[in-house]
Amino acid sequence: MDLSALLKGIEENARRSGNPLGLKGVIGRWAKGLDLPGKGRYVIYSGGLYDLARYIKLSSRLLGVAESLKVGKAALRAGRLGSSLLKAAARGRGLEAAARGVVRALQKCGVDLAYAGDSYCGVLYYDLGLDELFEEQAKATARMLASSGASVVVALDPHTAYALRELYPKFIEWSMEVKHYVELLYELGYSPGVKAGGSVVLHDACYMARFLKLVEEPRWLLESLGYEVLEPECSRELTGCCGGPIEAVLPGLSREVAAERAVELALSDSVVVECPICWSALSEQAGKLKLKVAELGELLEAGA
Amino acid sequence: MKFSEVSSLLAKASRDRVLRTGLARSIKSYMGKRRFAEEASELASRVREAKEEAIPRLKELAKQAADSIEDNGGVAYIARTAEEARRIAGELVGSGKLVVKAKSMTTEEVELREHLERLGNEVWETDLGEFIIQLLGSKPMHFTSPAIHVTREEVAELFRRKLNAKVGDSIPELAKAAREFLREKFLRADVGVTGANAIAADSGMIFTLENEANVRLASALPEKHIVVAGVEKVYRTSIEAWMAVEVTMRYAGYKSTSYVNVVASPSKTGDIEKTVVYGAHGPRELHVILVDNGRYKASEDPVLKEALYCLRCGACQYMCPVFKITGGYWGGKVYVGGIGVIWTAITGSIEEAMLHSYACLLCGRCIEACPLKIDQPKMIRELRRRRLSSLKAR
Repeated sequence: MDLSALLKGIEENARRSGNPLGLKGVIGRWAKGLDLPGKGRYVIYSGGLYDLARYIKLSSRLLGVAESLKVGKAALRAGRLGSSLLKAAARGRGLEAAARGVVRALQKCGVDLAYAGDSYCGVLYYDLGLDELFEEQAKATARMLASSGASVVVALDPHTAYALRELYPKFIEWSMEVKHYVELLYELGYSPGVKAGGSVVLHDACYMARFLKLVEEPRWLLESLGYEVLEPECSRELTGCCGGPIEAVLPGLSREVAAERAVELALSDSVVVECPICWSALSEQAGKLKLKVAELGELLEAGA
Repeated sequence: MKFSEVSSLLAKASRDRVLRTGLARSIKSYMGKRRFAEEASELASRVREAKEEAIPRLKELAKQAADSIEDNGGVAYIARTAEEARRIAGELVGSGKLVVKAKSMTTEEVELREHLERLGNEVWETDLGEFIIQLLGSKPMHFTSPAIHVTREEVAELFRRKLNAKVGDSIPELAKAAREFLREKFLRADVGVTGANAIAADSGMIFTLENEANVRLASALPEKHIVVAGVEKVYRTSIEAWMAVEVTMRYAGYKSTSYVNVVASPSKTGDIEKTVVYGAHGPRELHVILVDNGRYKASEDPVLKEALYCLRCGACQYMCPVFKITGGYWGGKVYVGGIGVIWTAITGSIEEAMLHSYACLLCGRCIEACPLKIDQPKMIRELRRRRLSSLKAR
């Protein structure tokens, strides 16, 4: 892989369309038709990953193929996704419904939820050391969220929650309280309309368990939804990474990490993940072991 | 150096099924011993406090340790660079000598064995894992299990080929062959070289952990004993040094190692007329080379200084998802894993470290694994950031 071309590509994409994949008009699609008010005490913010998930899944697959064929720059062009590929990705399964499931669950608890628009939160820029880009993105996101008049941001995925809670205050003026939606559902004692049955293996997301310290809450939520939670080898604070974070830079190695983790998760044919990156990275490898990977929000959608 | 070199190295490692098998077996075994670490977590937080006190005072403590060693009858040196450490050790050994060496990452870092061999000495690694690495001409793949990636069948083939040993594939037979070969080297050796897990500034006591008794033999039988250790191994007191030793063994997967060696001075006796003479049954000379090689600079770096807290127990390597696939191919020329990337930045090539940094998942399991809760992801990200800002500045 041509590292500098990749980083340059990400920077260009970010400047052109506000996200690392360079997609226009994608982020915020999940919220279409929800009809949430623009103002409220809580503002919901996806950080981009639920809309991007279907594209991330496809582009990391393409980058993987390109890496194995040893074509660096060509891979990048592929990573930018041509229009036919965009159409292909749009047809597949994505996570927009998962995000909507979270909104329904929060509304069921009576949360005064506003929506002020959406954006990519910038966390990948930070992870790659592109600090200026991260700061610009943080400023833009903060301005957008402030327009809601909310005092609390409700984040949907652990990377976004971590970025807003721990990183934004280091880069910009930031005074909003940040909650991951699972935390909020736990505090409000969410109870679903429909109870499911059966057992699922929970794959703790690294940022969920280790950086946000949300370990019991997702277990409680799954049990509330009627599932028996199975613990894989290496769970909770010692959970194993899905490989997703290096899917662009080292796609082959990323897939090997995912494959190793998928084996640990094969205790039941249903795996639940708490993050779109885990969903994207594990779906393919877990699929090879005939495991179905569901994102937590999807179960909320079903349970609402 | 190019990123494509790093990515093909890692790709090659991930395709190596024998490597994967060796790693999987060792990691599984370690996970079964993780309770020894958990039992020592409170002590580990006290060692963290000791490190937080010691690292900002590193220069002063290294000087104090050197003075204590000299008060005890040893000779101490502070080597500013790897080259200087090699030169000092080379002058102490000379040429045409037989040298037995214990395992030490710092001697790997300063490429001591290669240097002593170039001077015309016969040098043997005596830790079984390291001995295998020497015969293979490879790199140690883990802090405490250097040959973590080699199967018994490969070791047997290696011993038959290199030592003309008549051995089958059984592990006891292989251990016996190494023992027989090295026993004679210990007895004839002119110089023993060891590392250190901890050094006490107040008493000059040097602690080394091991299981095989090779450190014991290498530090007791030859006339001359040379210790090579990083300056960050210095603690304020003997008690703190002991705490670090106990935490190191626990997090390395042992309730107790077979041996903890403590050396404070050359061997001596005062049994005739209360007159002290050096070189009773053990070494007549003790030389301690404390190696800086980037550590002092790192101790003043607001982000990278935390890497100097590393006890080299290897817990983070056992628990890293990338290490599980690439083994020691990831990290840089000498050091291994995510912590290896950071140590490569401190003691070796910053450019190499920066390129290796991109293989880190930033998943943070190393923080959970680490007795001192060292935040490797924070430092890895910082290396990426510095790389980009230096590229922009060009």
